[in-house]
Parts: sequence; C-alpha cells; structure tokens
Amino acid sequence: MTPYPRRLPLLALGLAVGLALTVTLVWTVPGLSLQDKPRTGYDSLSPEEQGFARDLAGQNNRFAVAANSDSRSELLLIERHAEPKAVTRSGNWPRRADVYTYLYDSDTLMLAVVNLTTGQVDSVETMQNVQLPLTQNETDHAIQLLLADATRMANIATQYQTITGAALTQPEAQLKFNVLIYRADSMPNANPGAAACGLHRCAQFLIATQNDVVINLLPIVDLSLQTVVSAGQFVN
Amino acid sequence: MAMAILVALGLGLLGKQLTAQAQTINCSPSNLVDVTLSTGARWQMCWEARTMEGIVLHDITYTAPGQPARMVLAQANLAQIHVPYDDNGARFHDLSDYGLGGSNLNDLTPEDCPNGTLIRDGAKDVLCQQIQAEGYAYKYYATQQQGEALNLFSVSHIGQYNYVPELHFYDNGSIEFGVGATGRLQRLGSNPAYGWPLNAGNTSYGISHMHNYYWRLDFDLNGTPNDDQVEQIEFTANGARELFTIGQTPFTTEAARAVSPSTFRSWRIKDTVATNTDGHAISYHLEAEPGHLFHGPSYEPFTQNELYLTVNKACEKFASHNPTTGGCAGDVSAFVNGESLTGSDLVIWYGLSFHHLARDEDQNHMSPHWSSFKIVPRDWSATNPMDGVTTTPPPPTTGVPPTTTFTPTITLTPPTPTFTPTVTPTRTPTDTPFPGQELIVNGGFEGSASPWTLTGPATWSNGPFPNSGAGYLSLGNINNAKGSAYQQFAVPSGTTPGLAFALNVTSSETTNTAPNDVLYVEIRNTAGTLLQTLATYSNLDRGSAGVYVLRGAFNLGAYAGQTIRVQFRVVGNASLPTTFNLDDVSVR
Repeated sequence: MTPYPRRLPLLALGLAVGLALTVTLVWTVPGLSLQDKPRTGYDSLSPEEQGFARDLAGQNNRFAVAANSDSRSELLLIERHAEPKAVTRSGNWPRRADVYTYLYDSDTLMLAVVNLTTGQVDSVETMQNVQLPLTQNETDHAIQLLLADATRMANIATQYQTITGAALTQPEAQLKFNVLIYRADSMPNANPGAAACGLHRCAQFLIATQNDVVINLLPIVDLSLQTVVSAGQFVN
Repeated sequence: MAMAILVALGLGLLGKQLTAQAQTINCSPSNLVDVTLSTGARWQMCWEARTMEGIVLHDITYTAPGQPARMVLAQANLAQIHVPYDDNGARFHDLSDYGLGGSNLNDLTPEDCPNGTLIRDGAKDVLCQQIQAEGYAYKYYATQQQGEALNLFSVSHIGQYNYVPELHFYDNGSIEFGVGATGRLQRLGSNPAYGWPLNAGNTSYGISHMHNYYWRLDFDLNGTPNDDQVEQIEFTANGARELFTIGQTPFTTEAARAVSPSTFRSWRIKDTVATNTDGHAISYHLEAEPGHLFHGPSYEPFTQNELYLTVNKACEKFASHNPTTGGCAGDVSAFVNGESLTGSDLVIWYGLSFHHLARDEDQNHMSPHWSSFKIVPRDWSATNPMDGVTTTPPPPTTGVPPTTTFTPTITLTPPTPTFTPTVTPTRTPTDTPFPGQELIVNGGFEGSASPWTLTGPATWSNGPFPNSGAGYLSLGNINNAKGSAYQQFAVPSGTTPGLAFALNVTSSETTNTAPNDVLYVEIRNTAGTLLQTLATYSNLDRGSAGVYVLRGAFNLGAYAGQTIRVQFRVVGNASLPTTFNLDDVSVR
C-alpha cells in the first residue's frame, strides 16, 4: 500500500472535462440507491455530494497549487458546512461542504468551503495547529510505522507475554489497535518526545489483545516525521 | 433540489402571546423525527450524523397538548468528552480527536433497540427511537396521569469504551441530555494510588479517571434567535439560615460560571417577547444537579466552570480542541470574550462530570454509568400541560416518521420516493388466499429467486447444497456482509399461518462464543419498517454444508389482515465470513 496517495492532482486531471459535465453527471444519474436521494437543509452530505465537493475543491487553483507543492497530502474530511443562523433561519440555503486536506511537509490544514449548488469554491483557508481525526489511511500507516519500531514493539511484546502467556509473533493478528489524534498541549508535562505533536500530525495508540485485555502502553507516532516519537509509557 | 418541510402552525390563536410562528423544518423526511405521544404532546426535530459530534439535532420543537408548536432549541449536541486519568497517563479529548461519528458510530441492530424504531443514515442504522413510559406525570389522591417520553440514542465506540448519547423528550416539555459509558476499561496499571485492584493477586488496577461531558445548546425559544436572555437564579440565606431570598441576575455579556449547590444556583433562558397566558415570559430552566466536579490543571481552562454563555458562532463547535477556523478560539473558556448578549443569538454550554472508580464488576464488560441533566419548561404554559389531557393509544412504535394525527400538520414537499421493489410479486391462483394456503411464492428458489427481492450479498444458486429441488438462496459469504431477501404477501384475516424454512449455516468463524455474523428473520411492513424480529441465527449455528435444519414454525397470526414482508437479513463483521443457505420457505 502506498501511504498518502496524491489524490488531488488526479482529481484535477479528471476534472479537465469541465465543471458543467461534472455537475450533470453528479446530479442526473438515475435509479441509484436510497443513499442518492435528494438531500436538503441539515441532511448530511450524500456520498455523491462528497465526491462532487472533493472534485470542486481540487479544481480550485489555490487549493490545487498548495496540494501539489506538498509531497504528501491527505484528504481528511468532507462534511456539510455549518451555516450561520441568519442563513438557516431563511429556511432555504445552498448545499455547501467543508473539504479539509492536510499537507504534511508544511504541517498545514487547508479548508475549502465549496458550494454544491453553484459549483463554486466559496473560500479557501489554511491553518496550523488544527488536527482533525485520523483517516483510515493514516491509521493504517501509523500502525505500519509502529510495527517497524523494534524497540517499542519489544515493550509491547513483553506486556503481551505477561497478559496472555504467549509470544507476540504476529502483532497485526494478535493485537487490536485503536488510534486517535494526539496533541502535546493535552499533556504538556508528559511525553516529552512528542512535544511537536499538535503542530505535527500525530497518532496515539490504544492497544488491546484480541480478547480485549488492554496493553498499558500508549505509543505515539508522528505522521509528519513518519516515526515513533514516544513509547507512551507512563511510570508512576 | 431544495425541499422544505413546512410546518403549518395554526392552532387556536389566543392572542399575541400564543401566536404560533410559521416555522420551516429543514431536512428530508428520512432525517425528521416527528412523534406525538399518547398524551398529545408532540416533538419534532431534524437529525444529522456528523463526524466529530455524532448525532446533532436541529430545530427541536415542542407542542404541549392543546397548545401551539414552539421551537426550543435550534441545535443540540455533545461538544466534547474529556477523559483525563488520575495518574496523568492519558488525557483524551474523545469527540474532537477520535470522533463520535463516521466509522465510530455504530450500526445498530433490532436487538439494540427493543420496542423501538431504527433510523437509517445511508448504509447504517444510527439512531434508535423509542417511546417509554415515565411513570407519573402527576399524582394527587385518586387523580393521576401517566407520562411518556420519546427517547433517541446512538452508540459510538471510542477505544474500549462505547458511549451512548441518549436524549429523553418528555411529554411535559422537559428534555434530559445523557451519556452512558459502557464497554470495557481502557487503562490498567499497577499503582494502588491511582486505581482499584481488579485481580486476585492485586497486581492489576483499573486506573481511575474522569468523563467530562460538554453539551452545546443553541436555544431559539419560540423560533426567534435574538430575543432570548439568560439569568442566574440563586438564593441567599439570612444569618440564622432560616430565610432564603431569591435573586435573579440577568447576564448582559458572555460569561462563565461554576455550579454552586449550596446556594441552589441554576440558570434559565427566557424569551423576552413571548409569554404564556399569565403574561409570564416563556423559558427553560437548566437545573444544575452536579455529581462530581472536575476543575483540572491550568492548561485545561475549559474545565474551570460548568456553564458557559456565548454568542452563537458556527465555528465555535467544541468545548476543547476546537478547530481555529474563521478566527474562532480553541476552547470554550476563550469563546467567552466580553461580547454583548443583548439582541444576540445565545448558546449555553454545560459540562457535567463523572469520576469513574473501577470495580471488579467492570470486568469483563461494565454496566453503563450515566451522566445526565435536564432542562425543564418554566412558564412555557400557564398551568401543567399534563392536566386534563386525554390519553390516546400510543402511536406505533415503528415507522419513521410515525403516523401523527395531532395538528399542526406537516406537509412534505416534495416527498422523496423511497426504494420500491422492481419485481411485483405475482401469485397463482389469483383468488383471495384461504386458510392453509401457501402464501409464499417460490419458497424453494427453483429456477430463480423471483419474486424475492434481493439486496447485497443475497445470491440465488443452483449449486451443490439445496435442501430440496435444485435451487436455494445464499446470504452472506463475504466480509462485512449486509444483504437481505424479502417477499411481500397478504396474511388473510382470521388465519394464523406459520413461517417455516430450512437453514444451513456454514462459517469460517472459529469462535464458539461470539455471534459475529448474524441472520435476522424479520417481519416488516410494506414500507420496510421493522415490525418484529422472529429469530436470529449466527455463525454459532454453523454446521456441515448442505445439512439443513428446519426452523419454525413462527406464528404470524398477529398480522392477519395485513400485508407484510418476510425478510431474511444478514449482517456480518469484517472478517471470517459466514454463509446462510436458505431453502423451502413456507408460510401457511
């Protein structure tokens, strides 16, 4: 598996056929499933709307240039844009989407607000120190980085042996991984090796055996640096 | 594509103070919850599944019996679950950093939702809607009234925990916001100072920790955003502590306040225009009944108070780890920055805490521990709206939205066509069915699966494993299986037919305890709404390929006179597939 596929350039290429055609394709395909029913108001975005939003964001020049300048990017989230009250009280508002993409080299989160009704990108904003939940792609990559860290895996294997009496020979099959975003400002007096997390995009691990006995280690992987930065073991 | 669901409000207008406002509810019928309880009270709202917040409710509107519909909240949702551990080994911000929605939002099953209705979002059932008896609405000597509530809950797994955000909408207008935490303990340690021993050798300690739940409540009383006012209600004792004097202090700028149980501190939000027939401002009262309190380290300023009152901003989403988009601050304590509340749209943030001291019974699975609070109508009505109500039979516990007979009426414009089977079942002879007649067409799956309606991994086969004849139906046989087969038919009046079928389960699963892949045998109405789950089978029922077991008969007499569907629905987990071979389905 190739981590962080560079999706945006491909999208831009695919969209060379033109926005009008895209709009037609998205909105007139007949006979799809229930998920494709028309959405309105507060309804969350349909998969088709999310796809359209992603394509529109990729067409935006600023969005595309920023994504192309970074060797690694990840589409984090596409979600219905929360409209201000003045808009929602009007009782009728366009379908808009927030498209969040992370650029690892510059540790920048890029937010494009796209209007699915007009087919326009209404705004593009960049920011740092904002970390949305990990994607499955990032989770998978973080797990591979942890598995490749022999020292940390040895610590996990020791705990596994204590808990189960068995050797940890196939970690991916023998362990369950839950992975969530880690920000250093959550615990400023702990995990000194992970102090850059927050500016960097980091993954903290919750690990359990297959029968759900927890491993009391909370390793942290820095996805921006692509390395394990903390054993996550708290000794008290 | 814009659709509007117009709620025409036109109940007996008793003057300005009761004039109902025309309101627009902005969601599709599938995202609308509209329930009239047996006392005549009605709750309407839209729901939305979001990645971080999980379920978000919009435009929550309450209709007291015999009174006009009025909006209470424009939006209500969880805004953070903060979980710091006593040993400082972890401090999780579950909602923002992990997310209650997306893949963490559970696909509920009928077993999750007894006597309720599952509400679907795309490919998942994400909400359970139930109507529950709540005991006395009031009792006075021989006079009494029973109350009901609409319950809505979802389930999100976060690590070892399963959170159950659950809202109760009572027929008297109260709303209870709760979260149950169940699942398994997340962290174990060895230091007795920070936990509770869980094993016989006292070497493993469940580490104590907080669950700090923060709710974001955007009130729009009577549907008007900019004319609400919040005041603090508190009582002052005299020197002898015999007299307690009420004090009511309105807020004029954004504020943060801690609870104060000894002075009975509470808060209410009132509409400065609309009144009840007594001329009293309609309002809701937040009754602070704190259990544990958590005022954490200085770098967690959002924990220093329980109530935050802010001017509404769309980018102020989470109590902590808020995305700093649009110039918004990172946590709720910084949202409070001196803005004037006069003429503003107000948001109340409320935090409540539970300190979890582990116990032996938390293994292997712990019972939910609940944290909840209520908002209660104060002068919404001039008298108790439950007085003198005429209780009608409860609405059906199935169907979204349930049939409502209480005005105001809802006009859905335009109604969204729902999935309809492309194959119309035909049967021969075409005479009216008679008792004892076979009601299933092609229950042996001979030649094809017609007229069964198949979705997902439901495959007709003339392979090596029929029970009789040559054909049979295979459900499942893939990871993450979600598929079904159903047939619709009329049950003749006055008959008690039974459903029977032959089932052969084979599985790659090896577990002897976990039903990871499940086949549900269901009765649904013609709209596809679940009426009853007759039976469930799983990988635990596995046997040899081609060796069928005759199942049933299941009595369908309860559906005499109705047109129903018999549906076989498979739900499998992510690995080790199970195949449910089905043959010789009969209803007679």
